[in-house]
Amino acid sequence: MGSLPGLLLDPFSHAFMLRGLYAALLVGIVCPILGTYVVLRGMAFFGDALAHIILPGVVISFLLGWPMAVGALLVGLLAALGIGLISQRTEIREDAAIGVVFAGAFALGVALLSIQGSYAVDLTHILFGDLLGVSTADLFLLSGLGFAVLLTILALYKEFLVLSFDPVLATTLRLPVRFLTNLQLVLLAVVIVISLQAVGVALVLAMLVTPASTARMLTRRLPYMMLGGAAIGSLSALLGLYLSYYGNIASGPAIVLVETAIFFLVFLAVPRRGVMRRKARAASRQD
Amino acid sequence: MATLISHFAPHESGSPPIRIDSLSVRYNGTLALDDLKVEIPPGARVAIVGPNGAGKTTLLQVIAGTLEPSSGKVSVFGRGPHGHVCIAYVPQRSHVNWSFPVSVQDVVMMGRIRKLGIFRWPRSSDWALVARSLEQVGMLAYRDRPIGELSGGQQQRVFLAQALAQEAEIILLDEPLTGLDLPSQEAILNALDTLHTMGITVLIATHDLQLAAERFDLVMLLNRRLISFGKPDEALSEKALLSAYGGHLHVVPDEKGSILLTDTCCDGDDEVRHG
Repeated sequence: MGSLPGLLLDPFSHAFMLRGLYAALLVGIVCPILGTYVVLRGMAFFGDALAHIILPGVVISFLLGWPMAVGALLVGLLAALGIGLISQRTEIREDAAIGVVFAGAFALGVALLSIQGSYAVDLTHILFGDLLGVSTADLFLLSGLGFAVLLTILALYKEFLVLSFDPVLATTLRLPVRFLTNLQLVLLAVVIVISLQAVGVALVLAMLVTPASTARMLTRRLPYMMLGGAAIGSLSALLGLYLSYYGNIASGPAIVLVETAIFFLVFLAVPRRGVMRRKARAASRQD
Repeated sequence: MATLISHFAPHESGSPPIRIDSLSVRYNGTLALDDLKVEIPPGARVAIVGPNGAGKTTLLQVIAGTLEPSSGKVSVFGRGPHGHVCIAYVPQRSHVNWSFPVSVQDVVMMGRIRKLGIFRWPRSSDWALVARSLEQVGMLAYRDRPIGELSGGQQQRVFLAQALAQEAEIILLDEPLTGLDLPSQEAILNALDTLHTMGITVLIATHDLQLAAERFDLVMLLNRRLISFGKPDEALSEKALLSAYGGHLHVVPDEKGSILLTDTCCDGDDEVRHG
């Protein structure tokens, strides 16, 4: 057994672990900040669907030798806007429209994968991430996209806040509601692409929803929910990598397991403020 | 993006706050509003009354710019309803996401975001205006409370404060007193008086004829078309009321010899029962 500093530093003496840590921290910070809106607007199903929809884009990139993010981003943007279009232009409710595109795109992705050779191994990487396979070039692309998302959220903070809190107010204040809504979907697609390599298609939802939900239990203010989510997300990334290294567990699931553990710890530790608050509100609504 | 950074519609001096010209709105083939012509003078307190389905909410939505008219037009200070940020609209059923982690003063500050402009953060002068607005509706003590913890009447007053922080010159309220207890109603009415002293034009939709007659300068009686518009005693003449409500209205003399008006047509269920 080495000393404690040795135990803490050992994993990151490998360059691939260090790159993995950087990517995991990036995802751990960016995801919960956008995820705050996903949680508050009840878009969890949409987020999960979008993550799966991206699969054919990933496979096409893989087949054509493009960086994974390029194909994924193209398919993600197309799907995000397409779903919006279907539910705006037809009688079909949004969740059904999401379901149609979700299942169809995922099937296409798996079909494309099955055509080419090493089906099982690659599908596992895509589904559950390949954090330790992140290249330096990937890191540059992911960082650029991550900072673009954070800058957009910061620059349009007030506008996104009003749009999400009170859409009627957004309209009477003459905000470009359609543009901002679509922009949020685009940001979601970008964030999912960033997370893909870290935790994979199947677990992106956890990155978006779990730390932000944990932070929601701890705070009553939106900025603190975002920052708290980012703190929990990045801490989970770090702890998850240790768990992965010493426990010999796949890194994506390890990070998600740590996030989930923190969620339940907070759930048990925080007095049932949520329940109390709902009761108080129900009582005061009687007037 | 263009609308995020564009300038707001200017006001033409001498134009009334609201001018409605041959306005018709059609929903699925039926007329919700039929050829409305009316002009609201500046600083007026206007009660829009009429039976259910008379088009009160529709009219507010068209003025607010959240609903497009089928024909005719609405001018706000001489310009079309688009591009204005001088209008505040408080709908009856709020579309607010109550689980949102925002405080009362955050919600009031939302009224200021267009005045602030894109990429700008609130300055201390903006927070001072928010505090003043909350004080005017008697809600300053609640500034740090989460919005979801307030009662219905308190929420209504917060939305009034939001309209004040927006520096709105026209405030549209849809049934602001419905479902509130008497103290809350009184608090809202006092807040409306404050708006009046500030020269703000206020339009409220209500089914409460007595309230309209007692607390408002002008009454607009509506039943898809404009029945009457003027001072309460003129607009609410027996003839006009019968024309708007038909058999649904009971005219009852009270002890002072005047006429107590009872609206028996408040929602769909009542309509059937009293029919």
